[in-house]
Amino acid sequence: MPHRALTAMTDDPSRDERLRAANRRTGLILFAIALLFFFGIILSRMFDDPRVSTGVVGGAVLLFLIVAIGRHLRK
Amino acid sequence: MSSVPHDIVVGGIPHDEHAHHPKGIMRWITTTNHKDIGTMYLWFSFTMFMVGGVMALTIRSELFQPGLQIVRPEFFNQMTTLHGLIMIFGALMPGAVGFANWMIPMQVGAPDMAFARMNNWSFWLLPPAATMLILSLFVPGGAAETGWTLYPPLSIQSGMGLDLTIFAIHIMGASSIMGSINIITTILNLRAPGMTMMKLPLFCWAWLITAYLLIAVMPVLAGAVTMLLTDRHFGTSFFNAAGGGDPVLFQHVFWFFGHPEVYIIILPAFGIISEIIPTYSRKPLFGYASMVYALAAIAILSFLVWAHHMFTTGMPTASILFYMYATMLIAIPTGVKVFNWLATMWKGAITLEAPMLFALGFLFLFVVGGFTGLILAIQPIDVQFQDTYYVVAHFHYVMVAGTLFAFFGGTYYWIPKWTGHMYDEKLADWHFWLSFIFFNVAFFPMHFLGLAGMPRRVPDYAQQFTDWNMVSTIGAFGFGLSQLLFLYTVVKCIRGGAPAPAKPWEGGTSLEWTLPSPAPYHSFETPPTVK
Repeated sequence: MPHRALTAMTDDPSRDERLRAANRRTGLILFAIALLFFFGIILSRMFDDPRVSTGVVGGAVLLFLIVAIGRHLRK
Repeated sequence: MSSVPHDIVVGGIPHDEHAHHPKGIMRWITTTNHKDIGTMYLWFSFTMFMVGGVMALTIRSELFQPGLQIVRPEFFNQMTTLHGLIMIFGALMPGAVGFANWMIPMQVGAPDMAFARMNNWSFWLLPPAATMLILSLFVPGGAAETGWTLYPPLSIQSGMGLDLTIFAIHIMGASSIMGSINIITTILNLRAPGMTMMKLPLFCWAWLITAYLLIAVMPVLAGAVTMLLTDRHFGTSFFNAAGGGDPVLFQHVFWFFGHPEVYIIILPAFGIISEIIPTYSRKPLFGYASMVYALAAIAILSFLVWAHHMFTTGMPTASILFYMYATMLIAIPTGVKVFNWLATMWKGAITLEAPMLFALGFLFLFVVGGFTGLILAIQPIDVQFQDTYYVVAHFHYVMVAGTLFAFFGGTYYWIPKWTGHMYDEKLADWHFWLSFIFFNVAFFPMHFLGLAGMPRRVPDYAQQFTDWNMVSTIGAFGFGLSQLLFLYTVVKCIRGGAPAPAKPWEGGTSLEWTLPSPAPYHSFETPPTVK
């Protein structure tokens, strides 16, 4: 018996499609950020002074968090 | 009222769709339903809790008396390493994701998680990873014996077990990142009409912030262990001092992940407690907005304090002072939360069902763990206490009495909605009191042992530490056995019991209580409207 993977999110098919596109967009952005931090922390070790480059990656992580959480606090 | 007062217009509650999905084992392997996946996460978490618990009891058995009696020192070290890794990555984190899977779609008024297939994948990555971790005990050289922190140079020299540990961490990290993407997307995009961010239940807020933390730090951990792997096998020298690398830099990167990890584990517990206390106090949560801001502040500050784990590695005085004061600063938003929970209870019509008992136990014991954390934040004291049993006592008060008690409370709170049956209140009360008493018997004496200078991660100790170690071991066995009562109570509730109404707790006001019990297979096919 086929497994029903996806439920309708709304009763309007066109709105449903827009919602799925928005989900994909949000998911891809978050995935890209995770990839950036993964490679960023490895590449930061390859510079002459890894303390500075690691600091840059650490700062980027912190900035992401402040922006990501902060933008919801105003709503 | 679990979050903020708002009126709810119930949307289309769907027909039961149990006829439309496979039966038997295939249901669980192929499922994309958030409730099935949540159930699997919770059972996986409990299984890992038992496995990690057996390892803890092995450690406590060896420490019952001085002298080596039961295991070899190498095996003891492997047990401490695996106990830490399994409890953190196998029990606590998946447990929190289990609650998120079950409750977030129901609390935001969504039919399911945003990425239903990815949800299945992120769960099914966990069993192979955990298996790999446990099987590392049986490879030549045994499991990793570095402690869960995997510090080089020992981790560069360890045997094949450490490679399996690194792969397991990679897989579990990938699972966590996928789970986080799913949770963030569900909360941001699938909220019911009218549910603004400041109307979200506190549990959803706590998980949203936790998921952002996970996206930020899991890749950093994955990067660190990848570099460790290349140092071990591909001739690089990121952390290998012999090749010009810096082992202390590993500690910086690890704790840049490791300290926020503590909050990744505790924030969902804060969310659960913020649901339970208003319900059984029959009052709205005091200071909803300040609770949200406190969660955000804790999350952001958690990124600025990692080096307090490394005070004894040597650092400039200015750095010591920065990390010391920044760590103390976390007590402020945490204090705001504790104050708000107490203010919620103030003059409330409180009843003491099992979830509330666990919430009160959480409050009392988490504050003890918080205060010992504050003591450890003071560098001159930390220099004395580092690597003693004082630290072990501190983090078990946060992890076990904090997170685990919140999970127990959350299970009793929501199990009527999950199963359609009420749990046995008397058994659940017994479970709380046994857990509370034995937890303190097991872990409170560790403060004394630490103050007296007993080092951690050693299989043997000097004679003068014997008495408190015996007490601690008895407490640990009592606590472990008490959890069998939890298993029995849950299984009994699943198999039957008094039918649960849609809203078994009169104080519950969030969306999940508008659904029948047990909740239908797909929660809301037509979104409810929140006014």
